Amino acid sequence: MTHANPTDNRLPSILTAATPRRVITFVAFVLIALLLLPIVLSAFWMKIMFEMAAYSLVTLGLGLLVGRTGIYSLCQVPMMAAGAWIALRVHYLVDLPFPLLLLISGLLTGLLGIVIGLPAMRLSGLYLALVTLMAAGAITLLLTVVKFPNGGDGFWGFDKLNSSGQNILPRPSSATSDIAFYRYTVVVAAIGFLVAAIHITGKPGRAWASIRQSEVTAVSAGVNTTLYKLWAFALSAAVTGVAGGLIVAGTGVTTNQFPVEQSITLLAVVLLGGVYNLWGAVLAAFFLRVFPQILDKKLGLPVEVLTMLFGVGVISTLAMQPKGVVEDLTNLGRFVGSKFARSERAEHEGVAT
Amino acid sequence: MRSRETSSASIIRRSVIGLAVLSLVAAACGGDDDDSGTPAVTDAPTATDAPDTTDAPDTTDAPDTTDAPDTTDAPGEMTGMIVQPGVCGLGNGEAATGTPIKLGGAATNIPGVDFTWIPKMAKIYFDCVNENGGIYGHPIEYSYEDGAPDPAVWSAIATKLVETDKVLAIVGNTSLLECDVNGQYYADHGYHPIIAGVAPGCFLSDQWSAVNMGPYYSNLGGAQAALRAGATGKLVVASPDQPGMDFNNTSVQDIAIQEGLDFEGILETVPIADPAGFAQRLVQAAGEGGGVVLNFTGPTVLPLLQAISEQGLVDSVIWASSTPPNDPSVSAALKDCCGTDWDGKFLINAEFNVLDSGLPDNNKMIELHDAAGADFPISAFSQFGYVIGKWTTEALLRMGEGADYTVETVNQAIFDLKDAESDMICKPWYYTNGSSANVSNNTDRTVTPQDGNMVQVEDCFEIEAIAKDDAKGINGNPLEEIRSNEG
Repeated sequence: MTHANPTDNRLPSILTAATPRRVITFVAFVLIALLLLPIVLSAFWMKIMFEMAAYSLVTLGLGLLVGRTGIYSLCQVPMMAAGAWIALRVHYLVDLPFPLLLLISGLLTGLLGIVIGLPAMRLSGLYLALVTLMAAGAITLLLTVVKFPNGGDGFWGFDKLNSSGQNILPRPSSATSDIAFYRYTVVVAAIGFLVAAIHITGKPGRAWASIRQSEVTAVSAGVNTTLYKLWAFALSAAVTGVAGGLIVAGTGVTTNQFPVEQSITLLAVVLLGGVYNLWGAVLAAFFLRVFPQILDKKLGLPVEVLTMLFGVGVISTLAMQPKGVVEDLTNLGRFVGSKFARSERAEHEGVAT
Repeated sequence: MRSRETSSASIIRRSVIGLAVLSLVAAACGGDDDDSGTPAVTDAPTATDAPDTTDAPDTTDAPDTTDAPDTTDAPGEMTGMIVQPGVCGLGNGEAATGTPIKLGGAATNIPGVDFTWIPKMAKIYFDCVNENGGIYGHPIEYSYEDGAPDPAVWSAIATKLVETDKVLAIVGNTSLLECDVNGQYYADHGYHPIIAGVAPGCFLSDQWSAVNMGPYYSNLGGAQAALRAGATGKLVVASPDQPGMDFNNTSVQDIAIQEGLDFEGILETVPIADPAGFAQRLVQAAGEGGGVVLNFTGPTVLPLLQAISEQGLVDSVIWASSTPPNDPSVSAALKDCCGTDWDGKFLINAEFNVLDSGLPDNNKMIELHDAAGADFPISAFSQFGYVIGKWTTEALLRMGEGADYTVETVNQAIFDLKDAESDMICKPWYYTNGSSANVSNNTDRTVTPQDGNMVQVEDCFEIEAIAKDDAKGINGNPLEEIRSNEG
């Protein structure tokens, strides 16, 4: 088993070091998701894959905060709810093209992220996590009181005489079917990952890395830590807000589906997937939305088992592989690749002799 | 270093542009490709397509109930039904070995709200049908899913049942949310589910039909009982803080306005974290002599009733409830915790008969439940499951021997179901009568705990038809139209 070196602070990522091979891998992954999966998977699993694609933006947002800047936030799920709420409300106010709606949802949720991040600037670690958890509680409570807009009048837009408990946003006319909207979501998610990668490879990424290693050193090196921490909060919230917009159009939302405790599960799966590698966010989304269905529908195990599995997974990850399952998979890939290359080389040498 | 970064950034930027182009292509090509595989809406059975019920097999073909396996409880009087009271399906005691008829269901299951008791009881009934001839030799293969009130979950469940499991009918669904999520999906695929309804949307069209009346009308029935018992001043209704419950509370608001009373609707997170505090809040809200209608399941309402009793608040207001606590385990637990405090003082609107009515269907349900070693208590929910099983069986049997069981024919048979009887309900049930809303179970009883049992205090009464009155702020309900179409 490979044990991670705790002093190894490299940020291995297919996208951060965008070698042609890694770019090809990324494009191939997106193409498989766009073209192959709809052919080989049933309608049921495609609905689950849609959820995975949308939630990969949520796990990406949290992964950016935790992995790049060392900020532990427990407010990501309410941010997704906020994104959904904003998308619904803006849609009721003005009829905008769907991509613009997503953009506005992302931007406004990003602003909300800054508001949440501001008081957290002087805190770190457990205290910061606690503050974000309280903020999550406040947003959830507010949402419970005002509910999602369902076509009513006024600022909040909730009409209790509307009998429907589901709040849904019309999908874009070019992607009204489940498969088409899944593809749309994959493309939006891919753009989200690329935006994150651009940040990581650019100046913000270097600033975040220095903040993560030592905030004091970062300040002495002239990094505006307040600016870049807020930037991280904003970017994290923005991609999560976009996910909220996708989810409200993909399946609809209800008030009670974003409980505070889900933020803790989210943090667990993000740590499990791996926060130092963007692929970890994809893996975390798989753990969050696909794995429960495999447990339930394929293995016949109660979904409650998940809580235990995630608990054990997080403990073993933190103890043995802080870079997450994605690093294990990468190592496994390298191992298989090297074995394959060795046997090929041996074959070539045999032919030569 | 800089040149490598520039190169990386350049590659990434090119990828962004490439993906943006790909996005446009995917959006343009995406189309509605999964719609093409689904049957057109016009393929779905419609009310106008429904064959005359005279096409149903002659009930004289029904097996003689004397062939039924001997149960400890004798079957009741012969009815126009093929499935006789207290009998499972054909009741011939022969195991069905033919090609299975696949049916599927689903129910909400979260802490404080467990509706799986309904499909579980339906399954127990279907298992009994399979041991008694099945559907002319075809066993019913019934399975159910459960899920949290998340639209994504319910959308996926419907897809699994219809497209993966390929069930012929949707039976026994009971969800806080599904009727708002999957109506169009089922319509597109030609399904007419027979369900126990919770969400208001379950009662607004004949895409579905519920064997019960749901919390909107049951709350109203509870409020009617509270008013008859002398509630004055103000009516309060408390429901779980779940989707659609705001709307369900408005039925009590309507009758409060109609009767010139004040009103307050309360939504509470379940399980109730502080029953004692919530009890105080309810009493304070209703005021002395007011009426409080509780809309919670048995396991959720019990700690609240105990807290009310412990604080001496039982006589402060008139306490009423929607159907779920019509459950002998609730009355027994109340006797254990609170002695006679609640005897005659908790007026529960019973959409179905009392569970110890001694009538054939009730007795059969208890017998089957006990024999199956079920992991849920006997309650109104098990009655829902029993009649869903019974009436689905009736619909399938009415298709006649040798029928072709397809999604279209089975759902047509369910859609056409009329004059479905059981001693658990006040009057015969039908799938639809063509009204603008669909509440075929609209006549109830009132029951109350008494010495550890649930006893009936009011025989069948009509749930109040309330006319819309914008001037007074009354939303109204469609019961007048429904009853007029019932004839």
